[in-house]
Amino acid sequence: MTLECAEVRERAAELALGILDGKDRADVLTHLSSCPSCQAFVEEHNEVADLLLHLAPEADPPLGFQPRTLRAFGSQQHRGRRRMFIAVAAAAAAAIIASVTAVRIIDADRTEQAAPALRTVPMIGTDGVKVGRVTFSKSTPAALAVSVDYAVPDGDYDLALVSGNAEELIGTMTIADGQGEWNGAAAINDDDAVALVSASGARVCEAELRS
Amino acid sequence: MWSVTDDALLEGMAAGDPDATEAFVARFQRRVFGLAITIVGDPRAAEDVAQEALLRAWRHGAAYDPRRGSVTTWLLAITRNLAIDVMRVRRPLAIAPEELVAMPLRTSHAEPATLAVAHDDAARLHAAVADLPDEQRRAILLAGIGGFSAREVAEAEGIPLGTAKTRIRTAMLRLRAVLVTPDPAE
Ligand SMILES: [Zn+2]
Repeated sequence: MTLECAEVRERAAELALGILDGKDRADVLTHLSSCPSCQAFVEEHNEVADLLLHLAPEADPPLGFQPRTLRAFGSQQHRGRRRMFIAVAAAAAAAIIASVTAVRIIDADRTEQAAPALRTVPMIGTDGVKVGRVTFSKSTPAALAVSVDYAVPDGDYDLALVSGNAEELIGTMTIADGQGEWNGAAAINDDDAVALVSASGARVCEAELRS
Repeated sequence: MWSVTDDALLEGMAAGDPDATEAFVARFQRRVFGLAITIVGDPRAAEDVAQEALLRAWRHGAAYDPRRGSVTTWLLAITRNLAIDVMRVRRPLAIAPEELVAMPLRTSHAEPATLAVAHDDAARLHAAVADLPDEQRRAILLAGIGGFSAREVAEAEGIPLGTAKTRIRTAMLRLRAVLVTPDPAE
């Protein structure tokens, strides 16, 4: 359960490179939260990991990339500016069964090849870091399994389904010791996203439900 | 516009200044696209990743914290995370490890003075990566840039998992030693 400093340092490189997953990662993070000397050790590895990306070659994007990108910014201009919470009273009980299955599949096998009807997408925080994941079913309503395990401050959050410029409240989620999970159901469309919204109304992380 | 620092450009973009936004995209698109295509291999997918990375920078620019690294580092980390997630969802291990490890490493060149220190570090890291034993360099590039887990490195290289972990760890320790040791030439 609790790791020794030596075991944590053995895993420091993989943690810094972002390739440590699941329980290993959680155990290391737990140790780091109370061990400044291992924190410093990992921090030095983080610097190396960050700088490695600077070594990738530059390359010219395809013709028209810049105007296309700027246009994409324009079409997103008003997204999220308007808050329109619509409480959803109906929590489809049937879908919860499916979401339990989803969770079991994530635990058993993160490649999810056994379940083609499920899709797992990353939950990305404001600094672009992956803070968790959302698994959803291709059913109506969709079963959703939301889990957060990194870099989100403890507290209570609203879970919102973001659809265009509308946010629909689908549940609440408590992050304790850096971890939180939520299972439920919602009617989703292809371009929707799931976001954690803090008490002040800020979206702290977001997962795009692309299939 | 090119004399404006990266931080100021990002700040301007976050504040909604269209000129800053255009200059930001112009300044970073080659870095972002270059990293994206290195990881995902396919130009179309790389364009999607690069556009999404810039979109996230545009949307979340106000959350950037300069104490945690340069704008370039922040943006490249966003790009890598997106590219790796694309690879995980769409085509596990679709990129040939050979291509990734054979990639021409970027050498640093003249940039604004504010970045001199960072680029000095990047230049030292570049030299240190080139000096690594071949098998360690392959492991660290697959893991550090391609996002290969130790298990995936082991599969790609046809080596035991423990060996892959050791190569990654040893390479990181060597690179870290180079960065934390003052450059003798200074
Ligand atoms: Zn420790």
